[in-house]
Amino acid sequence: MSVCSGILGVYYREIRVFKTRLLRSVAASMVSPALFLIAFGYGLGRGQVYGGQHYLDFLFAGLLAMSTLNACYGVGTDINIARFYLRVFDEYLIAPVPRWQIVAGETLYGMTRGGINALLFFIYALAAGLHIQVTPLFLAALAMHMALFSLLGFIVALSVKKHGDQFAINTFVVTPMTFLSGIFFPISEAPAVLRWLVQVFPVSHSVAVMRSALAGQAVNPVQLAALFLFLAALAWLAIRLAGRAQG
Amino acid sequence: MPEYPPLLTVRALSKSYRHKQALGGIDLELRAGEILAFLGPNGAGKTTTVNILTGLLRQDSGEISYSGVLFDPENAAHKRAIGVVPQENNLDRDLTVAENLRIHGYLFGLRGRELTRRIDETLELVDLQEQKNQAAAELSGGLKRRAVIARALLHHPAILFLDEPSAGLDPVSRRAIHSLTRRLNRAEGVSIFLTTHYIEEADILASRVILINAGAIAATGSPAELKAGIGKYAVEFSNDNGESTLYFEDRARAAEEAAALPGEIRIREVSLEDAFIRLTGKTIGEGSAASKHRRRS
Ligand SMILES: Nc1ncnc2c1ncn2[C@@H]1O[C@H](COP(=O)(O)OP(=O)(O)OP(=O)(O)O)[C@@H](O)[C@H]1O
Ligand SMILES: [Mg+2]
Repeated sequence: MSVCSGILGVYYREIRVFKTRLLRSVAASMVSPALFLIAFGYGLGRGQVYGGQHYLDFLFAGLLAMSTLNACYGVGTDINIARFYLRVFDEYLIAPVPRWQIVAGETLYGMTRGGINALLFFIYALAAGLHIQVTPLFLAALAMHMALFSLLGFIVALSVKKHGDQFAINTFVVTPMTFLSGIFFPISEAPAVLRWLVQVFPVSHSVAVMRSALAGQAVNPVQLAALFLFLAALAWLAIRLAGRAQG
Repeated sequence: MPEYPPLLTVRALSKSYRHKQALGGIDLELRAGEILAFLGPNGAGKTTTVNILTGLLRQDSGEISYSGVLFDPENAAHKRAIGVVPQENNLDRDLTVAENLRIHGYLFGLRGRELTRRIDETLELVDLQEQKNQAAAELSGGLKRRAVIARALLHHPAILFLDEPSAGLDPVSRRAIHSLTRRLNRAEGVSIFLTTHYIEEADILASRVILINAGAIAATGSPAELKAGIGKYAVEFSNDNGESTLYFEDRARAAEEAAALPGEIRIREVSLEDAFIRLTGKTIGEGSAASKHRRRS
């Protein structure tokens, strides 16, 4: 009975380590969403309506996407530390487990971190009396969104040569991606160049799908397909990289 | 008696890092039941070799076989056969000793009661029962080392790679590691590939020693054979050129020669260190020869 030894071993390790800093971590992930909701939602957007949605309802889906994105992508930093500093990653590589299981274990861990943030968000939403619907389609979109950015974190962690490079990628890729991709404003309002550019960011698609699902509107099937494609491509890349974590 | 292939055979193994050759085509074998010491100074290529043999690093060229079967890092059976104690402790510092072992157990397909039993058994073997629920970060260097060894043994490997197991430890902890190594080899039947830059460690533990220097193998043999290769007695003396050593087969000849030498003179038995210095031209740990060496018989 050792079919998924790798997934179990990696996931168990990550969760045990996470547990040692659970409170700090959860408390930290509660702060910034609350600030965003207050600053943008109540400050700027009161009463504004976008495409039939109140700005706060609109923003909620975006902030949910951003917060889970950060939590999921953030596991890359943990993996990076495990790889360069603690050298724990070597333990996975000497184990008789296929690489895809290492990737799956880390992705599940990322999704767990993201899931905690999502849960906190729904508590905010309840308290704020927002108009959202949690449907199976929404949950599926959220799961894909979280898997995608956990994989991205993993890929970045395994492609950088030094621990510090991770931060550069955060600053030059991830942050611009979150700010340009329809989290804070509808992409349809942006200049044409930007509208085309953001199509290469997976978050543009995941946030759109999640937003439609949350509002109970129809989901754009092209964007859903794009999500699947991104997911498959990143999973493939992650598995390839997992084998050469050392050099 | 039938001839079994060696547990591990390595042929013409080479590896370069970006600017630098680390291994220049080495051959070696590990025989069933032995403690093999892979002895060499800093930067000789010991860790590079261990990393390649355990599947952490890819060689540029050369062949590795375990029990006659070509090594494939994707082959689970090969990985089950080996346990690895890396040069740098890589325990999860915030987790307990038992949790660290449990992760390893899961990764190697162990579960439930069987896993719990093995964790206890293995901690008992390395005498770490009392620290079972202590965070790894709280352990002393010697105990950390034993925890890493326990982790490597959990899945009952036939071969254990120990990369500088006692480096940086005090004499008492070092001795504990030595007796553990011997016990694992004799009582548990584990074959051991031990890298070290401590000559004494190789001398007292190993049945065979492979001297490695600058990515090449300088000599192979039992400690006694390596010493016998240069003589039995060493005469150390100093002259205008600095310190020198002469080697002799018998004591009377050594004393005779010594009497004719000026300055301060010391006669002693040949050590493995003499063999190392003669064969590599290096003083171990310092990188270059501090003295001249000649052989007379
Ligand atoms: N990742 C790397 N990149 C570049 N050069 C490396 C790398 N790892 C090792 N080297 C070089 O390869 C050579 C062999 O290193 P290795 O770590 O195998 O030696 P070692 O015998 O284990 O030494 P030590 O006793 O210091 O552990 C050294 O010259 C080292 O500088
Ligand atoms: Mg080394």
